[in-house]
Amino acid sequence: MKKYIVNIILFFAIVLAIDFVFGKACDYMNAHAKGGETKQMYDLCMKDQYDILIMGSSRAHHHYVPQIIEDSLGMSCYNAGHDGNGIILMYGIYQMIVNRYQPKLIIYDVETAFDLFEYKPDNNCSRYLAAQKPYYNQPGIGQIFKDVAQEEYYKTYSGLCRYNSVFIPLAIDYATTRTIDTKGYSPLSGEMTKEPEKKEKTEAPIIDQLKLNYMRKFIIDATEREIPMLMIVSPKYGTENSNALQPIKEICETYNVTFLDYYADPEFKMHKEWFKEPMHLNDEGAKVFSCIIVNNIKERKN
Amino acid sequence: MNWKPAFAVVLLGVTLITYWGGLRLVNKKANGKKCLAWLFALLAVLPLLVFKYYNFLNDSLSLGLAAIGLKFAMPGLNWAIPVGISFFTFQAVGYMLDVYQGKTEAEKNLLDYVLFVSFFPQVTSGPISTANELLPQIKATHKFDYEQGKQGLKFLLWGMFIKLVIADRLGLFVDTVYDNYIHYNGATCFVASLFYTLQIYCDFAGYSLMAIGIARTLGFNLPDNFRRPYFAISITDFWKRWHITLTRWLTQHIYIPLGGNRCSKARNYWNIFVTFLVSGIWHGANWTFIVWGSIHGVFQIIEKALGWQKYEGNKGFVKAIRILVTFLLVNFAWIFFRMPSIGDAFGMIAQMVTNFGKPNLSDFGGSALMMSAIGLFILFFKDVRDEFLTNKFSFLDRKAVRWAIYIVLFCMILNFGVLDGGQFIYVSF
Repeated sequence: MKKYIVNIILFFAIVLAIDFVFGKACDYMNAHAKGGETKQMYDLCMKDQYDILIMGSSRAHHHYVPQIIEDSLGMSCYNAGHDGNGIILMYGIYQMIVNRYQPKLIIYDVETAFDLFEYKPDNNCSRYLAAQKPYYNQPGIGQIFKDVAQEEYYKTYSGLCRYNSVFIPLAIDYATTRTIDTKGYSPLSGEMTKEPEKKEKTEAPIIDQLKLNYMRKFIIDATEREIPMLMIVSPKYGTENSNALQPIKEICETYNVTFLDYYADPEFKMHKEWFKEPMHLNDEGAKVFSCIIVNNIKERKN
Repeated sequence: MNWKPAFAVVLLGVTLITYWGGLRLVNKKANGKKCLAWLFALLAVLPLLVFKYYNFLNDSLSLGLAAIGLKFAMPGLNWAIPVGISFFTFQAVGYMLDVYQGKTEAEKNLLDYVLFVSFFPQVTSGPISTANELLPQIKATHKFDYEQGKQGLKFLLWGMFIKLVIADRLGLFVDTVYDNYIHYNGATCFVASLFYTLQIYCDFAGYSLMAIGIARTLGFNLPDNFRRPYFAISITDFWKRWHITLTRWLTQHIYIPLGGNRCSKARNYWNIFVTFLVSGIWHGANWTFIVWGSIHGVFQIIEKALGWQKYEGNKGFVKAIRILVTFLLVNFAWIFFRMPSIGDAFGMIAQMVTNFGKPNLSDFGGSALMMSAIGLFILFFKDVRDEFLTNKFSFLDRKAVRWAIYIVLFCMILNFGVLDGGQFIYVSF
């Protein structure tokens, strides 16, 4: 029994040592990546400064062309949208940014699944923490982990867990200089050729209070810092209205944040060719939409 | 599936019914024994039938009657299924039927029997033990055994590795494709089906190994449940390697009582079909599981009719072809197991046949593919070594090498594993 216990302790001691060294090595690679998404994320959160930030899910990531916004408004712009993510990641990125500087405008593209409702089939908000794990020790980030799930916070102390599932792309980004300079924007190619099938509604969606609270925190904090915000719902093909977003609209009304609703925009309804699929605009559609947003911003300035 | 404490009452109820049934069956005279055995078996299986199959039977009946213009439906039940109900019910009923068949003595000690049915490593997802296997171990005094404890930890580590690194990782792609198969071409659907075949093996075998490993660290030996099933040379052989304890239960309590193979060929084929129909029904309350079980039954009937269930030659090439064909047949059947409806299963098969094209794994991601490939390579190497090359690569048995392997596997679990809440597939049974 004594030998058994000693061997178990020795095993975990070796694993702990490897974990510590691995974590430090990955932290170094994260901070010194030469290209790829690792460098983009690190520069966005820790180094670069932009006048205009676009934030949100894949709909932000694929719908807003920073170059168009920069050229039209004469202000630097970066698209911080992240596929499969929403307010929980965006709040973390926002915290790291405002700890360094104050942007002149934040454009937040709101999406029901990642910013408001419980995600089906499993409402596991831990998925939104993945991109923030290397920044676990930055001010404000630890609290996000604790709010989502306490065990996720403890996992950040392990180097192996902190870089779970990302070691391979991290190593590639550290070793290579692959970069696509589209300022965070990711253009989609392809067009919808047929009308989407109408899906029967199943259960009514349930509001995720954690997401709603973080959206409220985000809006309140930006308002207190006097950072102008635009909450936008970009077009979705075949949808009738954005009534589902009413809770977020109410928060915007309370704090005098402009809410622009293009969800069921009639112009986009007539142009199937601007969509790759119902949820996402393709590159052509994104350019059209970006121009619309830029004109809207210019009108507001005047 | 639900972990509510109240469902312990279901476990207790099944335990008490089968405990009492076992005691009554010992004392009963032969002419009344069969009726009593049936009665107790039905009582013990009743919670399983209600929780798991009531809504399915109700919906099927309503649809059937509606098809002939009749409107009828019983009120639906909105009850979660107690976790492990299929497993502990079979374990308890198996004990009682063993007493009825004279294979084991009736257990008089209630506490020992309660522990037998509710033994925590196996109560949720097996393996399904017999009374002769587990009860003597429960009654025995256990002294710590270093080798047994070490073996237990090894099983636990390997089970966690194949579950978290392989099964859960592959599951991310499988779920994406299977839930939206009409948006993917046939080649992608086929790759997803292969991934699912590997996912379900790693998921279930992983869980079984963890259960066996934990039990072994406590000094209990549970039966093996998997023996490299995808190296089977026929579907018949597959079922001697996959969920071995369920196959044993079905053989002893369904197949043999029906007559087994000690009857005419036609009757034997019928017995095989019924056994696998029951297997399909046991797996889930959906027509897809019934079709899945029936497919396996039909495959085995064809094998038996053509004499293909065994291969006693030693031609490696022939064996390899048989392994490949068996794998593809099993892979085909798993499509029905995974899909929510028969229509979806045929829809997916139709995609594979009519719209093959080139596989598109972009939704999986390069790094996920690489992590899965590394995990699968390790699994494949280990299974090939265990199946075909037992005495080769003996350097892997050196102490330092073994320690390095254990440490690397554990680190891979932490770094490559899906740690944010994957679900065991078989826990929903």
